[in-house]
Amino acid sequence: MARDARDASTAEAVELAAPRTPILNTIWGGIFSFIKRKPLGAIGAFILILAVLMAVLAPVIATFPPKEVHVTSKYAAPGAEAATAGGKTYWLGSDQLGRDTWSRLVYGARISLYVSLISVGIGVTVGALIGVVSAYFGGVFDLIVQRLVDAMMAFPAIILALAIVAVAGASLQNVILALVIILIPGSSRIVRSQALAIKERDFVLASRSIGAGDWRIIARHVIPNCMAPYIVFATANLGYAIVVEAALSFLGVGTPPDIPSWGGMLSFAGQRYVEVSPWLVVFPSIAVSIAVFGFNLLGDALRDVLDPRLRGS
Amino acid sequence: MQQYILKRALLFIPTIILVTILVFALMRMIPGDPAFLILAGGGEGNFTQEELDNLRHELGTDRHILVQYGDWLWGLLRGDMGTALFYGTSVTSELGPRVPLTIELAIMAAIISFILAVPLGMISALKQDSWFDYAARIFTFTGISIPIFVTGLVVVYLLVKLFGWFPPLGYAQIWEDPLTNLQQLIFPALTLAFFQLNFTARVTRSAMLEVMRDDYIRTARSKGLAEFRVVFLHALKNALLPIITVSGWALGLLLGGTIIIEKIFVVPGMGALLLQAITARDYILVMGDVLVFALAVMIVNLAVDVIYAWLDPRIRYG
Repeated sequence: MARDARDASTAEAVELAAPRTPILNTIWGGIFSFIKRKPLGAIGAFILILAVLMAVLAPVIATFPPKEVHVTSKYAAPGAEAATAGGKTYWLGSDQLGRDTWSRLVYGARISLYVSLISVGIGVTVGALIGVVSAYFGGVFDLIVQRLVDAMMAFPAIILALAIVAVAGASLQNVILALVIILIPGSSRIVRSQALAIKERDFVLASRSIGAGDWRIIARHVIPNCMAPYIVFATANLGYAIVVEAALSFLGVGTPPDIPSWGGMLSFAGQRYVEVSPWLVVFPSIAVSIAVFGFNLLGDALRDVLDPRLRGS
Repeated sequence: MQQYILKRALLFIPTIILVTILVFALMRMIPGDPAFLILAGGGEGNFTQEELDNLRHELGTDRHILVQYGDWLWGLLRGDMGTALFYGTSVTSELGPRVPLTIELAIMAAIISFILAVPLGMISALKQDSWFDYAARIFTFTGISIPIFVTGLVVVYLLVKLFGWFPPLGYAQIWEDPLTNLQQLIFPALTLAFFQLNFTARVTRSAMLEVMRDDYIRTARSKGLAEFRVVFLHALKNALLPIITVSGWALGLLLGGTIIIEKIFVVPGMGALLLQAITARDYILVMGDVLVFALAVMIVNLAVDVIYAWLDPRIRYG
């Protein structure tokens, strides 16, 4: 432990003493060494960056407005030209209302990433804070929180999410709310077990003995030491959140059908039109799978780097 | 052992009470009044305040919320889950034929995935860094990234194209006509098994790799045991612990996944009923359905704990 502290202070001193430009070099160096050490993780990060670019640049790279209906060009094959709209090409075909699949996919990336990042950001953070506080104070509070977590974990996540959206109404906000609620118990449990170990460490005792209050100890010592499981759990659930959002939309109770989303595209197309135009299923399926694949690769690599105890599990 | 099971079973009680509270609280957060929804949804939409009050009284929603909860809980204890608003039948009779189908689907998927995944993961670990290992790892990693509804749609598409498959008009229960039942459920079960298969295979591989490095494996080898005995009696038995923990956890996922599989394959199970109940805003039916799902997961968790204690004496006596 003493050595840990010394290493940290040395690192700090080096960082402070270094001139400005090398910091930039360190960032690039860090990225390069991550790519070298974890090539698969780097591929995951690359897929994630592509997805973010797709979402951000959606108005630029979409060839049609995503909600534009062309009744004369239903079920166009990939590469076919639209009968209206100046004969623009449907790169990935069109759906039952003649809407362009490529443009809807591009806009769908916005929904998937938005829902996933916001819900994981809120859900995992709230869960982690509950876990830290519950572990630190222990006692009756911890007991009650843990029984509640037990009870929440008894529900299959998708069923719970479905019930919440059903009660609250199908909207984007409520999909996020449902995801936040299903992410809280797992996150609080994982962070709690880390915090339980941290609060017994000598440096916590040391700072208490020099008069630090509970909240100061939590903020300065417990929370920073729980960052690794927090980041690992958050990344691991980004892909999961995309799947749940798509699954809810697929079941017809998630993102409202007028908003282009990957799950929604599969829901309508998949149910009735799979025989007429299989590509209506193929492209959104590939989009969801690649996005989840990328997140999983990145999550695995980050877990290996940040939490060696879990390596390979 | 008995003491451990007893202790674990006693923990079941507070959790189950909390689960009923959560289900009840969740359903009563519905914006709007069930009586109002029933009358307004009934067609013309013109009804008197008196009719509304009568229906509220009939449904019991004019009473204090705690009284309503107590009433529902008392009903549950007697095996009465209330009357479905939309169908006007009892919730237990709605759930009756559906629960076995869903549970069977989940169990079949669990068994299939276990049977395929454990050997896959074992060979992968024993032949670490061979071409088989790489192929298996790429396959399983891709597999866990493919959402269940994608696998389902692909399987249905292939079934339709290759065999002219169409959803059966009715599903046979296993005790009525086992052969037809298995025939009807095998493809949904295989589809459901796909995700868990990849997941379990990955866990098996890492658990086996970990165990094979342990000292007692070296001891077993050095005392001249056949490799077969080393792998199956020493390594696998120890590697089974994490595999079973994770499988139990994943069975919860499988149960959740049944709702998607049931929609794609048109299986009249609990998930399909839940979707109907949600569309009909039948909150009594939703409550019953969700509660059965939660109960199923809790029973699985209990079973996993018991198996775990049986496999590992350290837990039993710890």
